Amino acid sequence: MYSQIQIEYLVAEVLGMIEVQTDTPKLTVIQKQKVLSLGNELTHQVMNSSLSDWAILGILQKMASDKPLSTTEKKDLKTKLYQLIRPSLLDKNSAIHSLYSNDKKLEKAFWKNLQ
Amino acid sequence: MMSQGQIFAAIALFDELIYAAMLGLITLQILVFIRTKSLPSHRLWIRLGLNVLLWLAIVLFVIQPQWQGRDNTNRVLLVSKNTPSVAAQAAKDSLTITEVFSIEDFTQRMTQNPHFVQNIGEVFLLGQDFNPLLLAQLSQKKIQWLPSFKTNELQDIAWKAILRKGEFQEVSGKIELEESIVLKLKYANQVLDSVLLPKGLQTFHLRFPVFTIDRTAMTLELGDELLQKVTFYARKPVLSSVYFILENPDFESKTLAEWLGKNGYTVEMRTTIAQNTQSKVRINLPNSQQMSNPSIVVTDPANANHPTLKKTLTEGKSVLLYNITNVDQAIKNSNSALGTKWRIKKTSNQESISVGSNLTALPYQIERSNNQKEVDGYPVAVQKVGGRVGISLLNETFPLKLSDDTLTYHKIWSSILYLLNPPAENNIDIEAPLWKDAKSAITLNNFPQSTQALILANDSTPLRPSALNESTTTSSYRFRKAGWQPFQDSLEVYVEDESTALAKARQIQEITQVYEAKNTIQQNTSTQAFAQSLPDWAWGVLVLVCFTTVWVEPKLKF
Repeated sequence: MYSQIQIEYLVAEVLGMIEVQTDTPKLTVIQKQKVLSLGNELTHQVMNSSLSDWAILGILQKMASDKPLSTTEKKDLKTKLYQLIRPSLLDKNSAIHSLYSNDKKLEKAFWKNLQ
Repeated sequence: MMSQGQIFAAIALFDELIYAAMLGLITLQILVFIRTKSLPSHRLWIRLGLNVLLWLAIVLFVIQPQWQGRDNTNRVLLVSKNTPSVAAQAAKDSLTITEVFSIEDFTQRMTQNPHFVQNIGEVFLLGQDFNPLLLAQLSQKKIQWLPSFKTNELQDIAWKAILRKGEFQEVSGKIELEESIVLKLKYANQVLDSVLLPKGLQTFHLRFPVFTIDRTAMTLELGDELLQKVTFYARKPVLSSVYFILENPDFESKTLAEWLGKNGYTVEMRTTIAQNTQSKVRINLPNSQQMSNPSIVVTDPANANHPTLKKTLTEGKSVLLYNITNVDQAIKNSNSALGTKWRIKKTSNQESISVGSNLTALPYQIERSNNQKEVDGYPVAVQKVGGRVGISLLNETFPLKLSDDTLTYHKIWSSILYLLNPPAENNIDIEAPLWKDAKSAITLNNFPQSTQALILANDSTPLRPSALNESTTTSSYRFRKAGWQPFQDSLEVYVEDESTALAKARQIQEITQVYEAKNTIQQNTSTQAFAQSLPDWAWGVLVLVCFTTVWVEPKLKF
């Protein structure tokens, strides 16, 4: 069993693979394993949800066997996987946060003198 | 294939045929004239005049006479294809320009008169559909570009080409709308963010946290129409290391450490159990390895004077103060030891206030400040003092986890850690969309000092240090191929094909900027002469009128 956080990471990777598969149809062995383990994980969740989610498992299987997905299948898969991780995403109104580094001395002087 | 000689011979033959036809016509006219009898003399003269006129018109049409005209070409307006004439007229009137050319007209003038461009003063370009060849010929001119977009057409758009999972992608742009409409940013069938735009020229700004890894494509839709594909590359997230300094073991810290561990953070927790006895807990960190330079230090305000905190902040890393019981004391400690400027206000006399189900906070409000960011909806704030200092006035959050409300727990702590994450290494800042054959600006931040060149698209580009920020280097690169291009060793960037109005606009913008920087001397030529001739339609009308009068005249009985 994976935690919600691990599933979120797995979903993120699989969403990327859907896009990559459009240009380079063959997935690597590791990528295939990831797709399959997401499929396995979702099987537990799908057990007690609506029937439409079952289709997703089929699409994941298809993906893992290097079969090209149709446009609708891609859309369905993306939509469903996004809905799965949406609750744990950050709120859209979160403050803007920069991960840039600057000259530390200058930065300190700036914040000090700003007040 | 005909040889050149044959072609010339064919043209000469064609000319001879025309002359023969003209000769035939005049003979016909004379014959008809001779055969007419018993006409009053004034009718005779009129008929003769009309016939002469007809013949002259045809001869002139064959000769195509040109005459010299003078025009004020100090300021000319060059109108691109697909630009509505209303826009051209408006530009002409507002700029008081007398000479307006279409692209075909302009190119024709250039071929007729080699000095035509040279003698022009200032050129105003209207619209964006100009071919680069024409623009190249104007390279010595002072050029002003007037964009002309249709309604419901994107006038500007920008987002980030590469960013990490968990960061916010922001899509902003400009559009003129015919009527109020909803602009949506969609991932497959899922709307990520949307905004209702009123009629008129509007700017928009949409944002969402990145939730993918690797290539990602979204669509920007106006109503139900696709406006622009938003394609970007998502990198793996940076995971920080968190160091706990605790006076005694408590359940809140234990729960938080476990959650951090599950999220992939490296955690080390040092707890003083008794004097000279410390317990150490490590998560995601091999025992042999020492946690050096943690990105975030978590402790309670009683430890504000701990030397590790000061060191952490000088290095530009972050500190979080939590598990607070006495707020006034905590604020005092933090402000004096860490250089923060917290100001608080008591909001209630109760011991604690509720900020959600199963969640309480101390009855204080953190007042806003310039160097401060708050976590939306909770009494948690982060101030910048070189490094970042966070303070949480929440009481215990672990009851959320116990009551199985893991989602709220996750949201609160990921929001707090999002604001506390110190500057990351190897930051890449590229503004998308990147156009093929257009100059793209690339900014790298906090890369290893030794990085001299950037490898991309099976090529490399030199890096220049930025004058403003010593951790930043910049480069400018022109992608020659569209589609996904490799960037560095494992990343990618998406390069768009240049076919949209926006791409052409970007190209002209770039060219005019270059010319503007280069051409500071303005020429003062006011007028110039060039050949003018009647347009083809005027010839058609003229010949037709002449033929009609010749035909109608005998039918009139006067």
